Amino acid sequence: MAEQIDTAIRIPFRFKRKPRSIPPDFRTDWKVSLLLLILEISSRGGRSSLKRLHVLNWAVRSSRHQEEFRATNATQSPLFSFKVRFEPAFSRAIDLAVAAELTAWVGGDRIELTTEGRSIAKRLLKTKDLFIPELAFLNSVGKSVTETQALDLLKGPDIA
Amino acid sequence: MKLRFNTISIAVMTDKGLFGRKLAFQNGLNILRANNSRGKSTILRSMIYALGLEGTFSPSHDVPLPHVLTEYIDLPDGNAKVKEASVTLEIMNGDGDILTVSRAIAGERDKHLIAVREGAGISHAEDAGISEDYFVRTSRAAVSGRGFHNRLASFIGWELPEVSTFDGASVPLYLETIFPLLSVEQKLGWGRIPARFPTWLGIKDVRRRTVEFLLNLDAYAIAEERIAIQLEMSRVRLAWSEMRDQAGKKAVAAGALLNAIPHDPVSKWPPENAPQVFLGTEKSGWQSLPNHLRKLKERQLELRDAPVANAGDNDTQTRATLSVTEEAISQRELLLRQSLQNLEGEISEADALEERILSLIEDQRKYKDIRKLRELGSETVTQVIDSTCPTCHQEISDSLMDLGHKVAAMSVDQNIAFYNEQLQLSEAVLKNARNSIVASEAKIASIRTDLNRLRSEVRALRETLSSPSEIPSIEALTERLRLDQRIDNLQELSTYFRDLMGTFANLSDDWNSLLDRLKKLPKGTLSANDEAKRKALENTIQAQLQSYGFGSVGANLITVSKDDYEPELSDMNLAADAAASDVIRLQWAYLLGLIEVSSEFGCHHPGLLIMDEPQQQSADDKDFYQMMRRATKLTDAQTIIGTSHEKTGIAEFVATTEGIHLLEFNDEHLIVRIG
Repeated sequence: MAEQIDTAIRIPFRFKRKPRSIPPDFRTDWKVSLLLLILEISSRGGRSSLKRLHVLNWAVRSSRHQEEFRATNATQSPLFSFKVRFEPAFSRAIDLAVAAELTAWVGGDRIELTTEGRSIAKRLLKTKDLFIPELAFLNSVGKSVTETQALDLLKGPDIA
Repeated sequence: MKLRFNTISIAVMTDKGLFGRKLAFQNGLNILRANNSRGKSTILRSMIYALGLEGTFSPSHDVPLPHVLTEYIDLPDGNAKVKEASVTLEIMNGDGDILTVSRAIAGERDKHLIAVREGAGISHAEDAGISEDYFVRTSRAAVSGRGFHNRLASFIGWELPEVSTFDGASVPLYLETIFPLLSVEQKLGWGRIPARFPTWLGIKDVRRRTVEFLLNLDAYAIAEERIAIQLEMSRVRLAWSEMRDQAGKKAVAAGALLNAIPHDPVSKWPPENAPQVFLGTEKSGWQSLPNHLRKLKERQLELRDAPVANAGDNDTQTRATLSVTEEAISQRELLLRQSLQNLEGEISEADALEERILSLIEDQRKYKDIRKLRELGSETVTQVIDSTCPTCHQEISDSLMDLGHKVAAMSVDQNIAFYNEQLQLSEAVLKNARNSIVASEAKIASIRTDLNRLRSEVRALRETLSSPSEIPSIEALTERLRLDQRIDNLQELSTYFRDLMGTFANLSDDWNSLLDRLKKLPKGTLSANDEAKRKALENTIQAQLQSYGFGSVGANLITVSKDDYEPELSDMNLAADAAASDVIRLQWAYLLGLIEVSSEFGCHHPGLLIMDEPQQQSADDKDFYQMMRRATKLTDAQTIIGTSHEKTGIAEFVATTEGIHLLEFNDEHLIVRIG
């Protein structure tokens, strides 16, 4: 028996690694581009707190999130439906964007677009056929989400 | 289809007397030469203003003419204040009809009114008809019977096409949108490829629509037809699927299944696998409706011939039947519960699948965006971040997910293919799930029908047992009644099904003729005729550029776009990348080319072209002359060129070239004292 196994594994063999499917939200350029667009379209002066960025990232992420966010926002008070998650991939995208000097930290708690980051965002906007649903959402939200609102959304509802 | 400017007359009444100018133009090339700031542009603009077409240049309602005509005239002995000013223009169409139009520039008279007289009101004032007022630059001026542009269009012989606006309305192609190709203004008109079309009118694809009209291209009609066909197709598709749904529900309600009706319209009806109605029966499983109906009718006949048994005839038999039937009921009830549970599971599976498909579609779209993003090349995140870490420059994986060190990520294309496959798989499974839901529903309905029948059988059996033995057996009677009723129901279903097949046959006919119409459309956006015109335009532009000394690239590289019929150079932005003087040459070639092609193919161009100072961007003299020489070859057109080009050069050129009408003013002002 042992001998059999021994002969069997003496035959040369190789493992071939099969590439793994990655959800598009985990692609670097997708996430970083989205970050730039959130800063350009939906943040005053191209600048926003980290918390607020996470809220908007979560909101723009899929059409269902977008609907939930809208429903929550329409009532002007945090509801149960929209629950924000901190997406680690988004944090990584922010780190990469800072390292690549597309965005920069301001005062340790806020992120702002650099000149290059802004020019890339502008160029993305010019193509007209990219990020169509995301842009529609960001444009409809505009710069209206304030830091306080973002914090409220993060904290979730006060349940008595 | 022709428009010519015969004579213009400007009259300015001031507190120091009457000023103005009268000029006559001819067919062919007219050169209006004067030194700088002598009022050439004033004259050329006044002609456009006289026709109420200043909206070509701007949405503003201010009079777009200089102060000489609106405020004051500079005189050596101080200013003469303008009290009233107007412009009168004689225009001629292809039939030789002449119309005299006159519009106020300054003074009390309403500037939205244009006085129109039939006949040559300037040169033969006595023959001209009475003056009638038309209005311009108000809403409906293009369509109303009293609108001047409506009048002008029909005078030229134009039937303006209906085009759509950005807010979805349908309007005529306003004249303002056509004139940028007929008149180039000095200050803003040059150096623009494409020409400066008025966007404030809100017409969709205005550049294309205008050229399509001038060159009488079929492209717009083709596009319209394509849209009409698509609308009609979606109507048929909707009717089809509604009909199919409705029929399916009706069948299920009768405990039947409708088989083999295609999801989408088909052009061949009935399809090879002909649609059928199946009934779930107790004994022999699914049976086709006609078969089942035949069996029921046989039984009906059988019963009709047999005498109705009496209640007491067969007590033991009745009791036995009763217990068998009760057993059957409890079996059916169990089956029903299981089937309902089953159905619930199937429905929730289908819901989950639908959800999954939606998110797959969303992810797939994101991936397609990522692919486009990467194809953009310069100035993108992809280029900046690449596949190395911006800080330590070590290789990083193409993913923000923590994959562990050894796992490779799929490439974007692989991932798109992967999602495609997932999507196809999920859709196939969903289709299957939906089919089994329908089958389950039919099964449940048929169990319920069965149950009802069995229960009434039990009731009848019990009544038979408890009734006096010499009256007819209730069980035997109800069986007959039930049978009659079932046959009626199924017969109705059968009729419904026959009608349904007729409806589908009609829809299929409609579908077929739509497919035929679609087949008749050309492959691309252009018809063969359109393509010939496009090619002719391309040829004349190339030939002209060659002779005008076009230097940015080889003239034969300039093509005419199949999308918007404008000159283009593969992917280059001509306006940005070509030399400024070459853009001017291109503009000459394009504007003259439109006239040439239109007259060659008999299209809608009125053969009129006004160019104010076309020698822009220090285009060479010889090229400028060459362009004018080309214009003299257009025998069936009128070109009016205003220029301050050096006097002797022009004089020499006119002397050596045939067919030029020169209006030379040298240093003289064009607006002078005339009374």
